Amino acid sequence: MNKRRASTLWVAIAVVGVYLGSAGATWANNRWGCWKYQNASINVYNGASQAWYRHYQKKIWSHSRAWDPYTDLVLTQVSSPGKTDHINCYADFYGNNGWLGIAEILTYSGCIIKEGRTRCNKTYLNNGGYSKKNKRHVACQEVGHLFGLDHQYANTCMNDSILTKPRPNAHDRNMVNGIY
Amino acid sequence: MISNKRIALLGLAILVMTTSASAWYGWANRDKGPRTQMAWVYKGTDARELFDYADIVALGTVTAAYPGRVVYVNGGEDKLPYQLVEFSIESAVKGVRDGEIVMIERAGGMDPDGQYHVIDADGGEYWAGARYLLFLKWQENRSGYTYLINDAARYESERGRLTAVDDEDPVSARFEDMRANKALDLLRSWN
Repeated sequence: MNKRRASTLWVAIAVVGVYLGSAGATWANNRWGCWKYQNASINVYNGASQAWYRHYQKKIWSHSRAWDPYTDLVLTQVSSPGKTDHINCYADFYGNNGWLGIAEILTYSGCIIKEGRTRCNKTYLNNGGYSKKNKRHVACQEVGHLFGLDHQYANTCMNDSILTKPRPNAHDRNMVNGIY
Repeated sequence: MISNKRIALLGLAILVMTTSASAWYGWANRDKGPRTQMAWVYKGTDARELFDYADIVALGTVTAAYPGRVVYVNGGEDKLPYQLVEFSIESAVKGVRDGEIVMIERAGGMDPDGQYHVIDADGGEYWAGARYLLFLKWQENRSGYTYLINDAARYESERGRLTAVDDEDPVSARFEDMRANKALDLLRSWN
């Protein structure tokens, strides 16, 4: 091997090395850190009542663009909350504290979520100033976070600067399918 | 004398090792991200609008933080604890005076079952003794308590410079790494 070929090889390897080195810390946009569930089969408990129960049902299972039918996720509805491979969904009057919804990772191992919880804040959302579409946008977004998605600025429920697109878009679907 | 081939092979071996170590280090230390995401009531895109929306704008020091109320849902299936934060005003800009103490209520902390709720989308817990520039709103139906407007409404002041919760946020970018005194001058010019 002559010196020229050896130098070329060194440069090529260095480039690959830098790429691989940064790959572990770099994630595509709209990805929430490294969080995900163990696999695509996730138990979901709908702990909301009345209209909010229906909002969650619609956004998780029953609409054609709901998370379960629209993505590769297999979301099994369960009758009680759980702490392993579970998303537990709630809606209640949490107070005037400036937020409409929270997605919280309660327990995890490494990057694997064990128990995630969504909360929709009826103190605001049921005060008469928010439409059904707005409420479903928030419900869709909070659940979507727990699949591993961050906010994004497009026509999707993952956009936190609007409240009028209560469903994931193709980018969200591809991200989720890519994660799982 | 060592041949060019041996030098190349040695270099190759070293690079493979450093590449592997680099890849492993990057993977092991990747940012998991915060533990919560929040949809805010107010999500503006302009610092001046945030200022106008706020009831209180001030630089001050957190003097204490302690547990507050707990919201029970479905008979305790879900419990969301709140914390109360005492914020002592040092440089008032809007809605308060120097020397006043403002009470901030925020979600997070230990629930009665011992489960800790890490609510960090708002920047997380406040450090007693730390200085912050905050944009706050009075709570409706709960007099005497305020809340942080959103994640662009909180800046920690360290050595006179501001650090945002999310420096990529378009509003936060206006104040990120700005000298606190300069930020106060700017904000007072909007009053």
